[in-house]
Amino acid sequence: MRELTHAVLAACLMMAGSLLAQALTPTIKLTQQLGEPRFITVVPAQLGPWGNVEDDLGAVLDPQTLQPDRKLNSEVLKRIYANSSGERVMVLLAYAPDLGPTLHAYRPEACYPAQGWAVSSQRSDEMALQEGQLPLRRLETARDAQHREAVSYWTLIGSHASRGALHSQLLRMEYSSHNLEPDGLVMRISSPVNGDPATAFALHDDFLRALVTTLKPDARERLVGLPNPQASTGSWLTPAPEAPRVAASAQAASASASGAQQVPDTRSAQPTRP
Amino acid sequence: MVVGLGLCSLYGPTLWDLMHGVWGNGQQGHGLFVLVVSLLLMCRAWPTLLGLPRDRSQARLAYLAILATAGFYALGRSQEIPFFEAGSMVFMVAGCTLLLRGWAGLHLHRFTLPFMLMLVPLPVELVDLLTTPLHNTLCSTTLDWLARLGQDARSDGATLWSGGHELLMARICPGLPTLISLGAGLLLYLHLVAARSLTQRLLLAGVGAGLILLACAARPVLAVWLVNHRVGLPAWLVQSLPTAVPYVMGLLLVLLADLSLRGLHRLLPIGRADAQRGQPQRSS
Repeated sequence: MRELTHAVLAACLMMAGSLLAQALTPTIKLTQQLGEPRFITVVPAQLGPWGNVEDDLGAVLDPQTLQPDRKLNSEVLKRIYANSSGERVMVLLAYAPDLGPTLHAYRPEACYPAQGWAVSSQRSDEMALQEGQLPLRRLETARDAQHREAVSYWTLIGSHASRGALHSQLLRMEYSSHNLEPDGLVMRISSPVNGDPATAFALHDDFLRALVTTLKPDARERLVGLPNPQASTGSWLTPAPEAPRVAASAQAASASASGAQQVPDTRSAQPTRP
Repeated sequence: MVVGLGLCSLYGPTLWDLMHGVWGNGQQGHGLFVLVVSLLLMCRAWPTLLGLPRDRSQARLAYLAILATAGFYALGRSQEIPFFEAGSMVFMVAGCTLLLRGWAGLHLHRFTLPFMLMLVPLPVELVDLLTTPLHNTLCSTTLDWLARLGQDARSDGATLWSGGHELLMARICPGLPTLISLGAGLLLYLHLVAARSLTQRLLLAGVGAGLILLACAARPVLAVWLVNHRVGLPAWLVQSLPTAVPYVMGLLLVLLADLSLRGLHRLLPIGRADAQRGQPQRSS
C-alpha cells in the first residue's frame, strides 16, 4: 500500500508537469496579431539605386531544391537586385509562420555545405542602422576556385533580430511569457567575390541601408525587426547598444553613435525615402 | 503500473513528435534505435528489478528529482526544446526507480540509463558544428584511399570531383547520426557480448572507435568507386548501397577485432588478472 502511495504521488507529479507544459505553451500566434506578411508585395522592386532585375536565383541555394520531398512550411522570396554600376546582390528571404525546422534549413551554415559549398569563414557582425544595431552573420563560401560567394544574413524571431541560437530561444521564451508564438524569418544577401570579400560585404551593407530606408515602418519591423531597446528599459534579452564593430561607412557609424543614446521606435517613426 | 501510466502520458506525445520530427526525417534517426534497445534492456532487467527489496529510504531525493525533471519537461515541451523534453525522460525513469527500489534499482540500470542519454536530440547548431569537421576528416581519408586505389580525385571539403563526376560530401558521407548509431552499437556489444575483463573492454572500445571511423570512411570511397565503375548496377543501387556500408562493415570489423583480441588473450596475459578478480555483472 505504501508503495502504491509513492507510485500515485510520482504519477501526480508527472501529470502536474504535463499540465504545466500545457499552461506554458503559447496559444496565440504572432501572425494572428500582426497578420501574415506577403513579402512579395512588402519588398519593393526598386530600393533606392537598387532595382530588381531577376526573380530566379538559378543554382543559388535553396534547401527545397535539395530535398523536394521535405515539406518546409515557408514563404520564400528570391530576387536579384542590381545597382546603377551593374553590381548585383542575390536576396533570399525565407519566412516561416512557426519556428520549426524551416528556419534552420535556410540558415546558410546548413544549406551551403549541403549543396557543395565549403564555408571558409563565418563570424558575427553588427550593422549600424539609424534605428540601432542589426546583428548579422557574415560567411565566406566557395564552390571551387572560380565560384566564391560572400553571404550576409540575419534571423528574426518575431520582431527581434537574433544574436544566436541561445538568444533566439530567449526571445521565444519572452514571447511565450505573453502567450504569443512568434514567427521567424531568415534574410540572406549574397554576392560573388572577385578579390577582397570586404568589398562584397560593403556592397551588402549598401543594399541593406537602401532596403531599410525604403521600407515602410510596419514592413521594416517584419523584415529587419524592432530596434534593440536600451538596457534601462528593462528587457533582459538584448544587451545595451555598443559602438558599431562593423566596417560600415562613417555616415552609418555616426548615425549609430547618436542612435545608441536614444533609439526611435520604428513603428511610430516616419519612413525616410531616398 | 501507475508509474508506467504516468510515464506514458508524459512521454507518449514527446515520442510521437520525435518520430514525426528529427527521428523520422533521418536527421537524428539514431534516437529511435537507442530507445528500442533501452526498452529491451529494461524489459530484460524487469524481473530482477521487481525482485529487489523495496527501498524507500531515498524517497525525498527521488521526489526532488522527479519534481525538477517535471519542470524541465514542462519547459522543454512548451518552448519546443527537445533537448530538455526528451532528456527529462532519462532522469524521470531514474527518479522513479530511485523512489521505488532505491540505489540498488539505479545500480541495476547503470548501463541502460546513461545509454538512454544518446536518444536525446542534439541541438541543430551543435550537429552543424560537429558535422563539418567530421566531413573534413572523412574527406581527407577518402582522398587518401582513392589515391591508393588509383582514382583521381580532389575535394574542397564540401564537394568531391572524380572521373568527371561531381559529388556532394553531404550526400556521400555518413553524418553524425550514423556515427552515434555505430557508437551506441559498440557500447551495446561491449555490454552484452564482447569482453570479459575491464582491460579487454577498454581495449576493444578504443579499437572499435577507430574501426567505426574506418567504416564511415568506406562509404564515400565506395560511392566514388561505384560512380566511376558502375559495373552494370542500377542507379538506385549505386546510390543506396554505400549507405549500408558503415553499418555492415562496422559490425564485421568489431566482431573481427573482438575475435582477434580473444585469440590474443589466450596467448598473452592481457586482462587476465582482471578476469581472475571476477566477472563483471552483466544484468541490466
